[in-house]
Amino acid sequence: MKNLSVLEQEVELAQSGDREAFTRLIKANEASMYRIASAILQSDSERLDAAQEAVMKAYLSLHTLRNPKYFKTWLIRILINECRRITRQNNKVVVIHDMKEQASSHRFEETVELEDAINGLEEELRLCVTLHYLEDLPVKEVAGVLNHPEGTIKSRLSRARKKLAAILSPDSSDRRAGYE
Amino acid sequence: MNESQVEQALQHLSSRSYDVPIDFQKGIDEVLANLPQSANHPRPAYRKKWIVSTAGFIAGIMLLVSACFVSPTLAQVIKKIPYIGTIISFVGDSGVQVANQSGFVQQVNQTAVDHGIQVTVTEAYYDQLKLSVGIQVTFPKSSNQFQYIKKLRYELAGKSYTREYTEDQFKQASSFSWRYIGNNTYYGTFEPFFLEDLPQQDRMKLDFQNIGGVDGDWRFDIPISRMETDQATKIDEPLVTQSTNEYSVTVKKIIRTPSTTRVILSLGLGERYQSMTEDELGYAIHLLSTKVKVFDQNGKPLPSITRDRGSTFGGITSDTMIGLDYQPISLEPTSLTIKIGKEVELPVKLE
Repeated sequence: MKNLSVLEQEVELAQSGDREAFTRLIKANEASMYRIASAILQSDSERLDAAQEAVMKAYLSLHTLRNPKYFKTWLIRILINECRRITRQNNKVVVIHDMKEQASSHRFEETVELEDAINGLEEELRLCVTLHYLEDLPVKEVAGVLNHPEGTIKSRLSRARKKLAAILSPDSSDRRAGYE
Repeated sequence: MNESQVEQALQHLSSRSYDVPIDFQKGIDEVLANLPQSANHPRPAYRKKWIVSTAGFIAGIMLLVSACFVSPTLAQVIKKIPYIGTIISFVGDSGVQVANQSGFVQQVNQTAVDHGIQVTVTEAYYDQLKLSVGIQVTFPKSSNQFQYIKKLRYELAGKSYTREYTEDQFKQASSFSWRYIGNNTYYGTFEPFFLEDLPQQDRMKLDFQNIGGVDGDWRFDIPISRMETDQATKIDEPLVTQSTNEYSVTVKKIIRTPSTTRVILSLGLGERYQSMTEDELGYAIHLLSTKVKVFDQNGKPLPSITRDRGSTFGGITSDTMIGLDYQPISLEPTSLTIKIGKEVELPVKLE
C-alpha cells in the first residue's frame, strides 16, 4: 500500500478527474506562479497570459505526470516554457539593463533592498535564485526545470550570490565588479 | 554584505508572504472555473487574455471581434456584449480596461487604408490622467517579421508631436501596447503621456506615416471628451507629512478617475541626498518610489499600474516628487494608507 503525502493524494485525485483537487493544487501554487512569471516577464498582463496558458496545459496533460511528488516542478516547467514563448512571440525585451547600469556605478547601500537587487540580475541568474531560494526547489530540481546540468545551476547561484553581495555591499568597487 | 549574509537574507526572503495582484488571482480563477469537463477533451483552439471563459465562447467572441469591423450587423451584436467588443479590453493599460468595463470608452470606428494596410481606430478613452485609443492594423501579407508603427504625428490641444521608433524603441515605448492576434492583424493601444491640463473636449489628430516599414498616410480625426469621466473624478489634497532621518514626504494629491488612482508625493530630501550627483539622486528616488505601497481601507494593497507597465511608465518622478498610478477605486469617502518601506506610514482620508 502506498504511503502518499497530501500533495500526492491531491495530484492523484486530480489525475482521476477531480477538478476541485486540480483547482486546489493550482491555488496552492498561485503565488509561486506569479513570482516565477515575474522573474521572466515584465508586465502583469503577460504574466497572467503565461499562467493561464500553463494552467490549461497542465490540466490537459496532467495524465502525463508520472510522479505526483513532482507536480510543482512539472507545473513550473510548463510555466517557464509559456513565459519564454510569450517573450519570443512578443519579442519583448525585459528592461533590466537600466537598473543594472545604474547600480553598477553608484552607491545606494541603504536604499537598495534585496528584492530590488534580485530584479536587477540577468534573467538566467534571477530565475535560478527565484526557483532555488524563493521557491525552495533543490538544485537538482532547478536543473531539471531549466534543462541544464546541476553544475551550471550551482555556478549560476554562486554568481548570483556574488553579484547580490556586491550590490548590497557598501564597497562601491565590489559593487561595480559584480556587474562587470 | 558578504555572500553568507546574502544566503541568509535570501532564505529569510523565501519565508515571506508574497503579494499576488488581485487581477492575477481573478484571471487564474477564471481559467479554473472554465476548465473542460474532462482533461481528455480537445484543447481549445484559441484562448487569450484576461477574459477567459469556455473555449467555445472565447472562440466565438474572437470571431465576433475580428468580424465586427466589416459587418454592421455583427457590430451591433457585439455592442450589446458588454466590455468585450473593444480593443482596449484586450491590450493596454489595465486601469483603462477597468474604465472600459464601467462604460467610459467612446466608440470611434474610423478606418483608413493605404498600400493595402488597413488601420482602424476603434475607440477612445479620455480622462484627466489617461488618453488611450484602440487601434487595429491589418497587413495585406503575412510576415515573419515583427511589424509595428514606425512613425506617427499627433496633435493634442493645438500642439503637434512627431514620434519615430526603431523596433526596440517601439517594443519598449510606454505609449504603445501592441499584440499580434493572427491573420496578419495586430491589436494595439496608443496612449500619449501628458502632464498638462488638456481641454475637456478636443479632437486628437493622429497621422500614421510609416507602418511596417511602408511610408503612407493613415489619418484620423478623433473626437475626445472628458464630460463623463470628469463627473467620475475626484481630487484630494491631503497634505499629510511624515519625516524620517533622511527625507520627509507629503501626500500632495490623490486623483481618482475611472481608470486610475494617482498618488502624488512631494519629497523634502535630507543631507545624504543633497550630496549625490544628479544620476545618483535619480536612481535613489527611483528606488524610493519602488518601496511605496498603497493600501485601501481594508488593508489590501492597491495593484500598481505603474509597475504593471514597467517602472518607467508614468515618468513623473523628479527630485522633489514621486507620482504613481494604481488601479481605480471608488469615489466614496474612504481612507488609504501609504507606506514607504518600514520607515513611513501615512494614513490618508479621502473626501
